[in-house]
Amino acid sequence: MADHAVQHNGSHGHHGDHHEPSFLFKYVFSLDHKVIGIQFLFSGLVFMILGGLLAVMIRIQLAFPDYSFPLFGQYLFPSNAGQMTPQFYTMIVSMHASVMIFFVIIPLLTGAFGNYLIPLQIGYKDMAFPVMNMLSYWFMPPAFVFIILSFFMEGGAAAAGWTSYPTLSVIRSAAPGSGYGQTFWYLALLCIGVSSLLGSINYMTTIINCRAPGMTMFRMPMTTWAMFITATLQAFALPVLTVALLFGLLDNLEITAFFVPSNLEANEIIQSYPRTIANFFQALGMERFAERVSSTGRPTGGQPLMWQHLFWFYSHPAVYIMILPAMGMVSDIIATNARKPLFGYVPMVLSVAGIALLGFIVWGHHMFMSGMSPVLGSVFMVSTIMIALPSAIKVFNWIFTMLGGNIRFTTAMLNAMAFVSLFIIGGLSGIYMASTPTDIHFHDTYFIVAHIHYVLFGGSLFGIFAGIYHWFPKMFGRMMNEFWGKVHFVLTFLLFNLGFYAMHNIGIMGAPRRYADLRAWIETQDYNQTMMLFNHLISFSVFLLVGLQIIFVINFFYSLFFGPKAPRNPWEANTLEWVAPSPPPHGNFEELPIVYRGPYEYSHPQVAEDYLPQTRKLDQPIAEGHH
Amino acid sequence: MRYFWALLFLTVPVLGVGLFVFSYLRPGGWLPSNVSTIGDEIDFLFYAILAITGVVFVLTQLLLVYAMVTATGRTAGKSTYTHGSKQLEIAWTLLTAAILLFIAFYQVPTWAKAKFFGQFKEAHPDIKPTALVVASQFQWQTRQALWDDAANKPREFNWKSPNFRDSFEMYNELHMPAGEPVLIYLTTRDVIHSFWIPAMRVKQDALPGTVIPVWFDASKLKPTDFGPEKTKEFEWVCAELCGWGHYRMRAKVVVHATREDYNAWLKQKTAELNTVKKKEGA
Repeated sequence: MADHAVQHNGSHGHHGDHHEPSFLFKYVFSLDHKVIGIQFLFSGLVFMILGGLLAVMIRIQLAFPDYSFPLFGQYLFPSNAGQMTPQFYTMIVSMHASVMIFFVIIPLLTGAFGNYLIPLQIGYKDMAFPVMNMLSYWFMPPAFVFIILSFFMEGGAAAAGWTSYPTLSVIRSAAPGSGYGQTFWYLALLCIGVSSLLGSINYMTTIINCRAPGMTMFRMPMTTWAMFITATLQAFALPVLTVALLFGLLDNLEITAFFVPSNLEANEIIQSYPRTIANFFQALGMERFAERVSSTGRPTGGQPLMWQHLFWFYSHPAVYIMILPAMGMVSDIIATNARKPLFGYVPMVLSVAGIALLGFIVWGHHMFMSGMSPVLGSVFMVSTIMIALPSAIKVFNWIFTMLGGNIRFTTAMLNAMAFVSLFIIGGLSGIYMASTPTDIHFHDTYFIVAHIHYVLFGGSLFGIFAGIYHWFPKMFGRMMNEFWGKVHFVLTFLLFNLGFYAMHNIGIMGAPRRYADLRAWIETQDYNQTMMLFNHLISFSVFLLVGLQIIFVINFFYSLFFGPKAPRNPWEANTLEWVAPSPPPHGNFEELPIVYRGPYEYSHPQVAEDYLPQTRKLDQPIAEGHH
Repeated sequence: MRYFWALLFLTVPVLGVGLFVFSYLRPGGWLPSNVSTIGDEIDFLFYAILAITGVVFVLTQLLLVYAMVTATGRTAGKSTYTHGSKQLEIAWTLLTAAILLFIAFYQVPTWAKAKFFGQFKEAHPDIKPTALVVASQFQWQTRQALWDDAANKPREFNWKSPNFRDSFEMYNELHMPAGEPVLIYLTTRDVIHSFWIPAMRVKQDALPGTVIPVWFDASKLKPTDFGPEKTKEFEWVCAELCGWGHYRMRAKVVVHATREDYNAWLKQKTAELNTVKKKEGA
């Protein structure tokens, strides 16, 4: 692997021409990784608003099941006296997760931060393939269109869970959203898959080939390492999801039967898709196909479990795609703000790699109760419990990075430390569901929902907040307001815990997932008082939590235009992105960076300052520190 | 200022432990009461994991708070300059790995007992199924054997495709005897559902195109637990999203105090149905 990359002086375009690109090609179809990263950032934040609104609606229904929604209640639920229908509820539950996972967390972490930071942190002028990079963003808008349109399809958006298990998702009349709502769901995710795949190839190539002189692999910051390993996860897992989505799409359109078995009573009873498909085949003269489709209503002969295997083979690595970049960023932010080298840099790198590798052999833990062979279940239990090992190692290393540190409690640092605290909870709760016997009780209960939200909100989202507060000065050349950042942090941290911790408890009590109404017997209306008390606690906390994010939004946009101008290196950090101006011009660096040391040389005893940038040349070489 | 942040992060272990204790003390705030033998093993494992994760949770959170409390202020100069400790890495890797491997392998026998059909059949070679449970959108249909007066036991037939002559159906109701393992076959007519009786710690997805054996028992019930009718009811719910009616696929399991009570009920039910049939057939 080359330690040196042949480079031109950074600020001149590789393409040779020196004329300014038009507005269209500078800001819309930009080839600059920084602009593309910011495009991902803004679209991710916009979809977070949609996902958050869906969450609020879910919580209103669960705390107040008979609530008659004012104003739009009569419009949305005319046959139900303005009260939310269970059909609508199953749809918003499915779409909340789909939007948050595929349109918010993955694009923000891999698309926004990955794109923005990788070239800057390795000392290169852009990505290896700028055109492909532009395309990787522009495959997203078709996905946006599909997913938004899906809400307006007859029957509404997909309502089979974000997991879209067949046969619920592929028998068009099994759920209102399993018509074109589900069809568009498959199409949207296919586009996102292409976008991610293009991006991952770009990231891997850039990191392997384009590092600045002196930037060996083991001098890269953890953010870049994490993005690199995440990219390998995407590259190897996405093709399987693509296959699953294509099969699901074809089944949903009743052209095939990958997942619909042949002896279902439902096949005879359901008069599903009108005979359009049959007519289509007939028009082409393909009589035998036409007959097969119309006689049973749809083709059959498939196996529903196969969807689960294919889907989870991607979606389990996907959850690591959603956490590893945040872990990388948090490592950088903690070391910088503790003014201390990262504790155990090599074990940290190996842990990220270990999580990724193990992440490919645990997918069956989503299927313990599914009808999959229980013997296979035992195997997956062991591999899943073992994945707690590298995660635990990382947690210990973060804490030990902080111990003995001269900690600067910046907003970014607070969010990063919250990541550690909340990820501990998310990781520990995972053990209950990794253990097959206890999973018998916990599978498909609110305990799982608690786990999901502690790792995705407590983990990924706090990591995203940390990343935004930390790199906003570099991205936009202005400082965010620290006071309001801290107010936002305190409120988000407290309300998040108040809202989501109790989900562990109602899961223990046996509250099932995806229930439109958690009252025990609908007819008698009786319910578990403690469960409903906790439901109210959760809902009110979530209402406040979502509402108070306005503080972040105002801080973000106000600072964008009126924040104080940011210096090159406001946090006095070591890594290469802080060498470039804030914000960096096209081409990033004024002159080629040369790297002399690792990224975490903070508080080095032999220099006066408490930081020592990777590019700073010293008269005498000093020991990089082996203790 | 660092004390303020330390205090804020201290709310995590305090709230974490506090909410669990608060919930545990309240009625209905903890695990549903368990009436099955496998449930004893499962609940024990739950408490073991709770103990281990609880200790790790509190210790790590307190360590985090400690790191903040002892974070020397800016005027104090630099931080401790160290890149790590090989000994510490090895120590906590080995310790964590040992605990995790133990947790993983210790649980396999319980899982086998709960789910390995071969093992179950070996332990109970003469067991006869009690019901075929068919899930659909949005109800449970149970098909149980009619009573055979001549043989003085429930009728026997092919449980995977029962016929109407030897069995009868009920909706959202399953009857079973206490004190012995009960075997059912589970299937679905349309989409994936999931058979879950929380009090008996049994959960199994109903997979379209398959018939899956499921076994459970209510052996921990004592004679004093039963009402005047010598029955006790337990909640039974659907645990896999199956459409809009998923939340209302609730049913009840009626446990009879003894096998004799169950047989008596079966006999009585058969008689009722025969009476109807006779009237119609006459």
